[in-house]
Amino acid sequence: MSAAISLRNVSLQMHDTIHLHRIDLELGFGETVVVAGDVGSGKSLLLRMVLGLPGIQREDEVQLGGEVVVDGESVFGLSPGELRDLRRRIGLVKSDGGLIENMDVRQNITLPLTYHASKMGAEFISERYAAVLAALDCTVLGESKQRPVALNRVQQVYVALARALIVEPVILLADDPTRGLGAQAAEEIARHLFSSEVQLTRLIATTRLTPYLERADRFFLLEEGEVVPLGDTSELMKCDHPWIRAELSRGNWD
Amino acid sequence: MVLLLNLVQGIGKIVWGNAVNAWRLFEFSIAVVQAFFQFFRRQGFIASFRVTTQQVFFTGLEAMPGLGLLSLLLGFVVIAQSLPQLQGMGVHALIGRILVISIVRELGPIITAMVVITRSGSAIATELATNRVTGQIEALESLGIDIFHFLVVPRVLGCMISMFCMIIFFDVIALIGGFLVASTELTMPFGLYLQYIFDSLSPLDLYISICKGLLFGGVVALFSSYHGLRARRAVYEIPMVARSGVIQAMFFVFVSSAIISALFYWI
Repeated sequence: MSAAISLRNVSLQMHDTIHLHRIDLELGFGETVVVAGDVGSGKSLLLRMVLGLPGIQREDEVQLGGEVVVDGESVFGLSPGELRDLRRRIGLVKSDGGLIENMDVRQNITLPLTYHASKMGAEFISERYAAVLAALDCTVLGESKQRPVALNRVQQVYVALARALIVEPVILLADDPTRGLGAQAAEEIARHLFSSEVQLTRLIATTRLTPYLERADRFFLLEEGEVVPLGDTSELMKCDHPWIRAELSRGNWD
Repeated sequence: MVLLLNLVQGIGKIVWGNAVNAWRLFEFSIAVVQAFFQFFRRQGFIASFRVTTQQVFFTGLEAMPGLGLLSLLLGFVVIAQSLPQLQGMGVHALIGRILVISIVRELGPIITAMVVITRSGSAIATELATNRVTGQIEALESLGIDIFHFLVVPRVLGCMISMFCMIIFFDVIALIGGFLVASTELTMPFGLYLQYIFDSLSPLDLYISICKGLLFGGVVALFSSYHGLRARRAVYEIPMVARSGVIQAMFFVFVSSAIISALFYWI
């Protein structure tokens, strides 16, 4: 079976600093992998590698090694147009929401459809909008005309999640969506990340393991730019790595 | 000797830095031109067109009251200053020529460009820099949105359309301002005033004035977008890139205006 996401011997250096070093990671279609690690361990960059490093600038002096294959396509061999096509099949939820500030809730959520699907009618977009909000139990939020600055962190993450799911992606990337949230809100967000009815490949980067313990298929630890495989939930619970032990003992307490 | 070496090294660094910057601006312009030609054909046209109309609203419509007052006063001042000299020489028929040369050919495009640079150029650079610093550019790219198509071309197109309309508006209002003085001082009828204007106005004057407007509008938005998107990850960079965009756009407007005038009216 071909992999949904495959990182082979991937290295990333920026400004003479090695951020990722010889990463090997493979996700099958429909699989959920959690990459845990401290803030600054390179988790976000790992997800950005899967997307072909969006937002990167020449001044970042990036040096890449290895190969990233997503949905059968080698990411760094694609033309800009092909890369954009690939990104449309991937949903991204960021810890800070990554929302467009001059757009209200509805405009933010429907942006991928209104931009890419010009030929689709307003009726189709409204149906998808209502469906995704209902799936996330946040219909009331969807009726709000507020812009991101007026939303709290939890609401911002919900809007980001709705925007990621509205295009019915084949791959969902989540960049620490539960960071800084209370235990209950984090649990709800995690539940919604896994609530999609369609087969979805999920790669979740996180600083906290608890919300994903019973949900993810496999766990990895990203430490000093290298990934350490931790196995499934049962193997994770037996792991004696200090960071994992500290995180598990912390549980839901922040 | 060491001092001289340091001086040469310093100059070399500045020259090299400017050359690199100019090359990147050139590359950026090529990417914008490519996106421009695909603007109407590409997916996302409706969303990008909406951004264009917003830009026309902010750059053109919102600036009209201020620009109207400015142009009225300018037309007023130009004729108020010229009229005593013309009357002294008994050649008040030259009133039309003075207005066409000073306002339609030169001041109209330049002053409109200054209004667009200070209002919209700085706003574009600041907005795009803020988008970059707050991760919104990254978010748009993650969604598979071409930022040249969605952010830059609509701003360039919006500023060009706005400048086109604003220059015509500026010229008309400035000529009305001139008429107010002429009618008061010379009791000149409006028909005669118009005849003096049209006798002095050649189609070339109009073409060049409008072409200058389109060029300046496009370049102001291009430079502002380039500098805005150059910002990286720090908020303190936002005023710096906005300032760079404004200064470069002003420099371009004055130099290119002088070159165009020299090419068409002098050489």
